[in-house]
Amino acid sequence: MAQINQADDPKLVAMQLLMDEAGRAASFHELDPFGERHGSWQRTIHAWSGTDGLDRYVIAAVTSLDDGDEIAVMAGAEERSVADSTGRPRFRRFDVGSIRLSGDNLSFWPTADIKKLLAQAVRMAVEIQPLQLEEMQLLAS
Amino acid sequence: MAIEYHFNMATCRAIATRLDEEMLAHRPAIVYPSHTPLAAMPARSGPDIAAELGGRYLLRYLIRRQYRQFTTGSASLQFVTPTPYSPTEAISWLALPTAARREFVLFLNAKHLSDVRGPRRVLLGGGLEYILASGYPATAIVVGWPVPVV
Repeated sequence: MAQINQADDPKLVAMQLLMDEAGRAASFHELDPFGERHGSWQRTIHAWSGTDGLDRYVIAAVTSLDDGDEIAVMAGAEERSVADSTGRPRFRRFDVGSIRLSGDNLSFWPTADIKKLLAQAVRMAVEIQPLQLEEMQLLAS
Repeated sequence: MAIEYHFNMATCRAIATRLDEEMLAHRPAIVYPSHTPLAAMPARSGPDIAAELGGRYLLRYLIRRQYRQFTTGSASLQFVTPTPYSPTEAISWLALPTAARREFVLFLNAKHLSDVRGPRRVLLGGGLEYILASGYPATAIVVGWPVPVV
């Protein structure tokens, strides 16, 4: 399977469209475009929820593994902190799920499954309540 | 101004991240909050970042399959961090959605970079990151190959 080498790879373009479609109704917008983030091509969409002061995120990562590409999706929310070095906000993060792709041909992508995964991620990000947030785990556990 | 810490039994990853926070606070450097879009952060020069880091290198983690992929540089958007993490720590502190182990790291000399954004807090993770909007040239790689991380 061909390794993804640039952000305009057809697989990433297709994922971008699916993410935008999933997040549109909940007013998610691109925070970071697809970039190479420590092993995966990763893109983040974001929505600000002013009523409860939460930033809500959906992140998709496409990783080229030995036995095929994998799409992994994460959802979360974070309280907004001040812009300084000590502002460590509380947050909640969920690994929503992953889908293994079997080939390079986009025609054979499990598009319905990917849409379902992204829709679930948006729903989870939107439904996180402030009382569910946790301090960053700084101490040994 | 020193940041007050209350270390009881802190994890190595927490200590490493806090020390980097303190280093940046003493420059002083602006650490952008995690909700800051890439486009909203100004482009900074590599030498500026190198001075901010006191000459320390930036770290770009890799999975095993990428061992040879980025050793000649890259023109794509790249995310890097100043903080050392083990393969498992990297997943939580850098909020990486896939559990593939980051078993290797490239050391990048910031002096050779251009169009760097950040530092920014890692959303849903708590680490610190810089974003290389134009990638990095091969000349920025300090050791000529990825170094294993355990």
